[in-house]
Amino acid sequence: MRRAPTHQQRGVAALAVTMTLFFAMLLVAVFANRNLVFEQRSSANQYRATQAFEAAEAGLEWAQAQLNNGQRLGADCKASADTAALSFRDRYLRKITPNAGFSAATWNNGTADVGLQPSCVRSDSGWRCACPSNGPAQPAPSNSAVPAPAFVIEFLAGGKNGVVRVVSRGCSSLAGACAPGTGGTADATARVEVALALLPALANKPAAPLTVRGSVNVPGVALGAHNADIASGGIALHSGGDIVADALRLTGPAGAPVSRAIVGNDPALASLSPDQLFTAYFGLDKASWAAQPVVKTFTCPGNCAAALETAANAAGTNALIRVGGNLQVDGPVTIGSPQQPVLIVVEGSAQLRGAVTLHGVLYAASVGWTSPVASGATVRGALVSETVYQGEATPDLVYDPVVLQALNERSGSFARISGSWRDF
Amino acid sequence: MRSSALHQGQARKQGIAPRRNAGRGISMVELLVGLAVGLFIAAAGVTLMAGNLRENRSLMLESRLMQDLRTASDIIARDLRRAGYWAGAVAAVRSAAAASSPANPYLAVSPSAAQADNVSFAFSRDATENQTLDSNEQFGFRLRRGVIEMQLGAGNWQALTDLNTLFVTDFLVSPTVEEISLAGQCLRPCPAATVDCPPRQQVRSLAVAITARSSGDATVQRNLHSTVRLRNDAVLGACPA
Repeated sequence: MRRAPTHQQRGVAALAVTMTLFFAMLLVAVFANRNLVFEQRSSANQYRATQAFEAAEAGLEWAQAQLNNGQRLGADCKASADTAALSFRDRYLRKITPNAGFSAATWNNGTADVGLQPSCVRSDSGWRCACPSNGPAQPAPSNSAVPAPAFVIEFLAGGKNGVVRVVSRGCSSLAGACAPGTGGTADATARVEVALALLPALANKPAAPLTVRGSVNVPGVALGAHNADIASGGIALHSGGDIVADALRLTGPAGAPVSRAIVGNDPALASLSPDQLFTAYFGLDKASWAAQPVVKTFTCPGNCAAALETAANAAGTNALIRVGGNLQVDGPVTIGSPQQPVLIVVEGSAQLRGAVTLHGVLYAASVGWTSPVASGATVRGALVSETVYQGEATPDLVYDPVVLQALNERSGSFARISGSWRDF
Repeated sequence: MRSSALHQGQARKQGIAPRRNAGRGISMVELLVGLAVGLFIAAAGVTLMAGNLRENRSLMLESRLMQDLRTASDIIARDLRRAGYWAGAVAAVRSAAAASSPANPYLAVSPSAAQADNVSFAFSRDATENQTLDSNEQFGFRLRRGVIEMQLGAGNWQALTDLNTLFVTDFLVSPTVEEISLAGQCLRPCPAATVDCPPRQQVRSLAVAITARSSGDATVQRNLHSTVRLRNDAVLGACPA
């Protein structure tokens, strides 16, 4: 009790010194923390900027993949069984006539026509997308717990035949540019743009409704071949080999002699190999052509009429069908329509029977048409055979420039134009 | 009442105690022990604080270094991605109307094969594409005396990093080129020993590695690697006529 005062005195001095030091340390700690907070904030900024940029890039890839996806899509951008639903390409692209590429399909917002925009937002199980047929871009909110990146796609006129420009805007969260009309701003946004060009399904149009690299062998058969289109040259039957026929029904352009409508033993055609013939019409070799995502490949051991009809209907305006092996089609059946022509490439021979109506182009290693019928056996477009054409049926093969033009300008795969990517 | 009584009691006690110990002071032993304890505590405090300060300083140096490196790397990656952009790309797409199309004047990127400590590239900045590589469309990065420099237009180099913050010891750009043959688009096979045939698409990417140390403390050193895939592929060559 008596010594207490002196002990208290000394303790207070040490305490004061220590307290001062601790206070200084506190200041240092606070200062360090400020540095840390700044560091954290700047790295978070970078994280969000990267997220937005990657979302925008993903948008470009997604848009290209969807444009090359022939399936009919529902409002959630997933394949739909509804036959009235449109494919992504038919829903969002409008062809500008004449020959100025594609532009965006539009909807009216009350005052003006604005382009339709599909959009996606990142959710726990991949992208959750919205493909509106009318109205603004309305991606469903993400089910992710943290703010999820999103992108919205805009299509701009390409300005050249077969070209469309795609603008993708990415955001670090579903706000601002990625959710038009909802207001607010995303922490980070990015814009990237690329131009896509159509690799046409039919790079070069056949000159005649029936083109055969080898011989045409139809003695006594009243095969009808008609080409009234003067721009194509007016050839109704084009062959690289002999034409054995004496009962043909030929039509050329008005005023041209019928003898001009038939070209046999054409050395230019005969000199091509089967693969070269394919490349000459489709602009790609067989393997690259078949590898296109648009091309639907299947085989049919028996009658393929129903399968072809289904595939052609499912593909909308972009029906590119490849049949592995031989193809047999028994009529009556109608494949394709003037608005939605089909392109069928058969690996082996194509055997048509009876009343088969085809709008589009059929390419096969060899073509035969049997079982004559009074009417209904028609091709509007063109038939191409790598080797021969034969058979006793009497179809009407009509050269249809509109069908061929559609295959040349509307169908095919979209590919990126190198040199067109930019983010500024 | 109670508190005042207590007060009086304390005053009485204190009044007696100082008078008894007044001349006694503190003993030598007491003083020494007290000082020792005090000094010990003070020393511990000073050590702790010095450590804290040192820690803080190196943290600051590190974060400043990282910050500057990240910014530089970001700018480099962003600019490299743009390499080869050509406003005339759409117009040059093959069409029935135009037999031949001009080539992309902004394609070249060096280095194209070996590692280098500089990179140069170009992209279009024309409001209306003039199909020529103008001075203001040439870009690049290089390392000079510990500083990464950025080229903005022909011959115009500007520092991208600050020598007061960091000293860049290494800046390496390693190109990777993958070629995709487009021979499938040609009607005829290429004649033997032709350079420009068949056409091919070059998918180019550049790996950029930066090593830098802090100017304040040479022991603080960081590496940063980034790989940039150039978005605009080069399409070279043509099908045989």
